[in-house]
Amino acid sequence: MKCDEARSLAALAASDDVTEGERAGLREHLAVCASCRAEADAFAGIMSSLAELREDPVPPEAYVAVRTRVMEQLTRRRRWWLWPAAAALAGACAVWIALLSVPAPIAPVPVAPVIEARIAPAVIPIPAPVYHRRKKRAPKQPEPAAEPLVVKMFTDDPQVVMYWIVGGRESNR
Amino acid sequence: MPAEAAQTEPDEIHALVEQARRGDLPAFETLMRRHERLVMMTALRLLNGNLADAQDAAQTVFLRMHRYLGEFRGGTNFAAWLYRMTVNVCHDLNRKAKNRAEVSISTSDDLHTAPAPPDGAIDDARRRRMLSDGLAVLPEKERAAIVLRDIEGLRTREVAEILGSSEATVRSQISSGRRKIREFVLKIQGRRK
Repeated sequence: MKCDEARSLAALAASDDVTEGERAGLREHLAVCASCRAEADAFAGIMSSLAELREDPVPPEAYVAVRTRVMEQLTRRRRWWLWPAAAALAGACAVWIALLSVPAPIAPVPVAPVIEARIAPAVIPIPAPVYHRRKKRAPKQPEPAAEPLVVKMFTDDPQVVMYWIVGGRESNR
Repeated sequence: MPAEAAQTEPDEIHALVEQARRGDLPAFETLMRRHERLVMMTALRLLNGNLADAQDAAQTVFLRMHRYLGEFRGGTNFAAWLYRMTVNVCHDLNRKAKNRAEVSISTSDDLHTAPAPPDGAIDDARRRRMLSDGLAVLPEKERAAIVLRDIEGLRTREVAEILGSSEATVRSQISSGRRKIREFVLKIQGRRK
C-alpha cells in the first residue's frame, strides 16, 4: 500500500468507514510508516474538533426570527387566498339573487318564415273627405216659474170657492 | 441529528406531518420548531458560517417544506427529506454568491496574523474557527458530505441518500475533505509558528 492510499484510508478509518480488508492493509502500512501513523493520529483530533462544531450555538432570537417570518408569510398567503374566495362567494350570491328576481323565461315565439314576394308599386288610396255634421242643439228647457199661478174661481154658493194652481211641477194637478 | 435519531423517527413527527398536510398551521409550527436546529445548523455550515444567509436559507427551506408536504411519502425519513431540501437550498444560494469562499479565506487571514498563544496551543474557539474556515475552502459536495457525516453525525449510507450519490462516492468525498481540512489546519499552524 502506498502512502497516499494509506492516508485516504486513514481519513476514513477515523470514523470506521473502512472494510475489514482495508483496515488490515492500513494496519500493516502504519506499522512501517511513521509519517502516515502521525497523519492517522491527527485525523482523530480533526474528527473530534468537527464534532464540536455540532454544539456551535445559534442565538435563540435567530430561530425566533425565522419562525416569525415563515409564519407571517404563511398567514399572509392564507389571507390572500381568502379574499378571492370571499369575492367569488359574493359574486355567486349576487348572481343567485339576480336570477331570483327575473321572471320565468318566456317561451320563444316562433318566427314566421319570411316569404319573399314581389310587391307591386303600392297605390295609396286617397281617403274621401269626411264632413262632420253639426250636432243638434238640445232644446232649451223652459225655466220653471218662479211663482205658481193661482186661479181663484167663485161659484154661486158664496161659501164654495175653487182654487186652480198652475205652474212648476205641480202645474198638471 | 445523531444517526440513531435520524433512523428511528417518532410517530409523533409523522402525525404532525399529517396534520400540517391538512392545513393545520399550529402543527406545522411545531414541526418547524422540532427541526429548526437541524436546518439552521446545516445551513450555517454549508453557507460558511454566515448567520444571516443561514436564516434566509432556513426560511426558504420551511416555506418549501410547507409547499411540498403533500409530496412527502409517509414511509420515508422526514429528517432526511429536510436535510436534502436544506442542501439543495444552500446549493442554490452558494451558486448565486460564488465569491463567498474568497471572503472566508480572507477571514482566515485574520487568524494567521493573530498572535499565537505562548505555549503554541490553540484555544477551543480559535480551533473551531479554523475548522469552519477549513470547511469553507472545500468544494461544495465535499463540504456537504463532511457537514452531514462529521458534524451532523449521519451515517455514510444516509449521507449518500441525502446527496443522491453512491456510498463509494460519498466515502471518497469524506476522505478527500478530511485530508484537505487537515492540510488547511497544518498550513495555518505552520504560519502562526
